Amino acid sequence: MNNIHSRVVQIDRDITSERKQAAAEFRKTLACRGTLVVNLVSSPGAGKTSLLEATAKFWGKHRRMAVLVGDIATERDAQRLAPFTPVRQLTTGGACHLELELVKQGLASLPAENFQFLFIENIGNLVCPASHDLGEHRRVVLVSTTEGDDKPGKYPKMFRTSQALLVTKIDLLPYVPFSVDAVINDALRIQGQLDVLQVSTLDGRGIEAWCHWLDAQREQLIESVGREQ
Amino acid sequence: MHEFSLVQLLIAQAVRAAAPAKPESIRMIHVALGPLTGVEPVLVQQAFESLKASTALNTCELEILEQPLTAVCLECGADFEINNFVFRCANCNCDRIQITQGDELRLVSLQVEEQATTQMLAACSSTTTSNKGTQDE
Repeated sequence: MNNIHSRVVQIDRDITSERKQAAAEFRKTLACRGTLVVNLVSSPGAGKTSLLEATAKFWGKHRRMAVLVGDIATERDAQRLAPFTPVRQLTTGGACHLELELVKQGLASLPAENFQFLFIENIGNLVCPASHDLGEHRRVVLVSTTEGDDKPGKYPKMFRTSQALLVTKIDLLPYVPFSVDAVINDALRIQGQLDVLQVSTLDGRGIEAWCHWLDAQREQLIESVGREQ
Repeated sequence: MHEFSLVQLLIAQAVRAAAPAKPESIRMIHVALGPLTGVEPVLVQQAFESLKASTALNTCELEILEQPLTAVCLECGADFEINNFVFRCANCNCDRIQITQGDELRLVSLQVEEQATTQMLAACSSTTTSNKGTQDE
């Protein structure tokens, strides 16, 4: 007799739990080394590379930083940043976001020293990178004044999962119909705990405050590691 | 297109969870999908249909249960549903809230169909299994 037995196997587990765990371990390892990992996300052309260039120039030899820069193709961003900071290009060959494995490979190929700051410049995209935890301690979302000030509400997950909002290209404010208040209010509606900064890499406004913010974040990280030990 | 990489993870985990049953015995996969995962149910379904063809799950079906986005207020303790991505407490309007559901893609259960053997029937009578089919609700 053809006796087919049907049963239900209960599992109830987040399928990304292994990825989340791997990211948490990476975050902890880097925290113990005293490295603050910052994941920079934005749409293309918001000024991530320019911000990193300005950051490296501002700090000079006073901080040890490194950059992993993601793009779908070319090594242009790495070449641009190479005169100012240790940098590795992560080329995804078409993928719309970076994944932790690629970040680990990039970090392994950097000079073996304890950086105080590791910046990950993600692929320019406000959608997919929001769903990929790269083991960062802080996610910083950039919105430039040449984009719409209604971006946060349209990409809620990215703003919900970020800890800071950077409004970039503020030197253009006299020429573009962009309301800084509107973008901040829209973002705070989604993530009320966001720190908000405004910068221009062309005239240098806000770069010092941004670098101070980074220092403060790293101090908080080191304090939190100290408390756990 | 990260739906594809998620569905690859899903298929691999379903196969592992079904063991020792063979992958081809999995008839149905039930998943719960929250709005904050950033993936579209329709695209997850499409990704599943195209990826399963090259695996032992080629006759398996995927059922996606869309979950609401819910949170708990860390100030007043209210449990509430988040609508239109307004991340504020529905009771006291503060922003100190914690998401409780809606940011994950959960593998809920599998429906497995096997040719029953005497041992299996014996094993089943001593465990809590169901042969009613797919719906729990």
